[in-house]
Amino acid sequence: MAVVALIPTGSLEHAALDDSLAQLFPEHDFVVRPREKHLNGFTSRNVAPLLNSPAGPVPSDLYELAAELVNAILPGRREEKIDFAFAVDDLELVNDSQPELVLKIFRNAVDQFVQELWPQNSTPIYNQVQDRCSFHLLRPMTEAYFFGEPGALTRAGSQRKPLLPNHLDLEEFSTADPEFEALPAGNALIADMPLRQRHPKAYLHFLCDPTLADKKRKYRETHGGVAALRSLDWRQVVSVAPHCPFIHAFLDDVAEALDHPLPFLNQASADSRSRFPGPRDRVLRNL
Amino acid sequence: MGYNLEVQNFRALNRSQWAPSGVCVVVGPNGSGKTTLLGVLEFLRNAFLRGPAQALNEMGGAYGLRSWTAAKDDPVLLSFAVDDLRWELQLTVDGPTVSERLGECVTLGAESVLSRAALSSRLVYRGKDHSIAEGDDRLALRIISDADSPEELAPLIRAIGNLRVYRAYNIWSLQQNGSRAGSDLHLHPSGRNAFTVLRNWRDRRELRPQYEFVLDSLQAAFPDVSEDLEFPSAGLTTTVNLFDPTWHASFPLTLAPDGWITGLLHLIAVAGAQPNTLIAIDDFGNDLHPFAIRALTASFQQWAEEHDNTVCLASHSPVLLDEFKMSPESVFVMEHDLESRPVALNELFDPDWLSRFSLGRLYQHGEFGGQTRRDQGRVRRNEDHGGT
Repeated sequence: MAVVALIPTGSLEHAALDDSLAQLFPEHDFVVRPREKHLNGFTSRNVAPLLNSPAGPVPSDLYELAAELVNAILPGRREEKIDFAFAVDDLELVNDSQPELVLKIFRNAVDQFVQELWPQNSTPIYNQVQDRCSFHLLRPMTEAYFFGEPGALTRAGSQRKPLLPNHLDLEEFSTADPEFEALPAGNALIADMPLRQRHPKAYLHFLCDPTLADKKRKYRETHGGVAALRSLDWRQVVSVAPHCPFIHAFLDDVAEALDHPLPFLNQASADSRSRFPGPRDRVLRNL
Repeated sequence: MGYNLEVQNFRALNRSQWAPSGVCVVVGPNGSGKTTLLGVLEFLRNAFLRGPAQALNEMGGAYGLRSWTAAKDDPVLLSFAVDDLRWELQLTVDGPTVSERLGECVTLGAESVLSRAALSSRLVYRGKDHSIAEGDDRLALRIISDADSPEELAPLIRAIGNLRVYRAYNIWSLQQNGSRAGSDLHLHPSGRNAFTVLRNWRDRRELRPQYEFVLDSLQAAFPDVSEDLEFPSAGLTTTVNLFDPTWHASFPLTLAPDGWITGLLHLIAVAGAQPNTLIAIDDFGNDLHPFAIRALTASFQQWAEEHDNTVCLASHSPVLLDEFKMSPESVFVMEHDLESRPVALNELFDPDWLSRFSLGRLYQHGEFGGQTRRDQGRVRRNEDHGGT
């Protein structure tokens, strides 16, 4: 049995991603780190300025996420032995056109962290990180995958059936709901959201409360979202083509690490940017 | 409902313009005026309800009332606005206290509705002159409210009457003496009637959601402390017993952790706020574990959203600040060298730069709200945002 640390960047994933993955790999233990509160992601704004940005006196969210990932697998924490660690962040719409840049920036941050902390003898650390640490993206965000399983939307609190284009890749989410698209401005979470029709969480807010006024019915990540993710049927989510290449890459990476193949996965469907093939230049398992 | 508080030359505050909304945080070094800012809200409420002299006594008297850096003739002004209804008071020191006849005006948009000149025994409401009886120490707004209950002033009067500030709970007394039985439905600023209020909420059907909110939120914030409460009474005293979630046995309040009691009082304070009103809690985070701070903040946010409340938390907690990562406009910074304070965090920093960091980490490093004066190294909005 292996122990897998998940390092998510949102309250929804912090509360439920461990249980969600444990459905697929029941003989292994999944834990979230840090225990009580997720770290911040670094993708909520355009990441381009972070490339080659010099470090300052205050550790950035990016740096702290990279540090948590590396530190998760190293001995020292009490009574804890982690076999594999996976940091997971939403790509977010603002970075939707540049996933390779997001991945590169994170890879560089891990590289920088290892070099700073082990300037003299970094090779053993690099070897450990390369074998046991990964970073993956959910595109554009976790809620997109709920639309792959109708029951998940119900658990999330949806009051009506979603209207989506045919043959939609959930990772390139968009709606075909004229009522949603015609909403007048005036609601920051939904109607005023940039690229509203491509924002799965904004659409989920609408499905939970089409009036936009019932605050008790509105979608809450830590309630309905947790219920949806905790028992999300991943097989159903990735089985319909096109196959959600980023989540495919993530699940495939976990399956490979645990030597527990998932029959419904096809490695060829995994996004190649999230599953860096070359052994020489890798810093992480997958990058 | 939009609130706007303005202050000029009052104690530590030379100039303030503050528009809090939702759940928001005020941070800054000791002595920067956080408590004074919240105290102004308390003063306005007490002045309206009990007269300005009494209100000032409850704030410690007139000494240092005028900001030490203000010129002798600069007025000391306080104003509170609800949407476009604005009430302004000009404080005039009279010996050891303030004059009972303060300069006062209420405007509705650009229109003057009510006015009273400082030291005058007359007020004008809607162009009609009213004389004020000798010895009547009520403010003009209160006099008009008592006489006519004018509909046009109702939002302002309601907002002022419902302002509540909590900044000095007496936990020791509550533990030792419990609460005096009565019909109280709102928490006293000292917290002394907490158990009476809570029991009354439990026993009144229409208020039971408030009781359930408090209980549910307490369990979320302190899952290992208590799973339920009971309210034993003796004579005129009501106290509370807790039920241990593991052993399901009750134990008295004297054995409860201080942090649990503090959290309980905060929750009663928030749940007791009328819809569409503003409450403030000073020194939020003291006594509390980080987990409890996060859980209580989430509860406040949910309650405030559902009831359109504004909840202002003055704090030094980096943990609390991190809960506002996605809404830096709800973090208000007090610093000695800010000409007008507080200032919203997103006005001090470029949001892109700010988004790269934990707000608590920035606060710990003194990037904002630092104890020392501002230095050249800070990265602020409109300055060099060169890197992380």
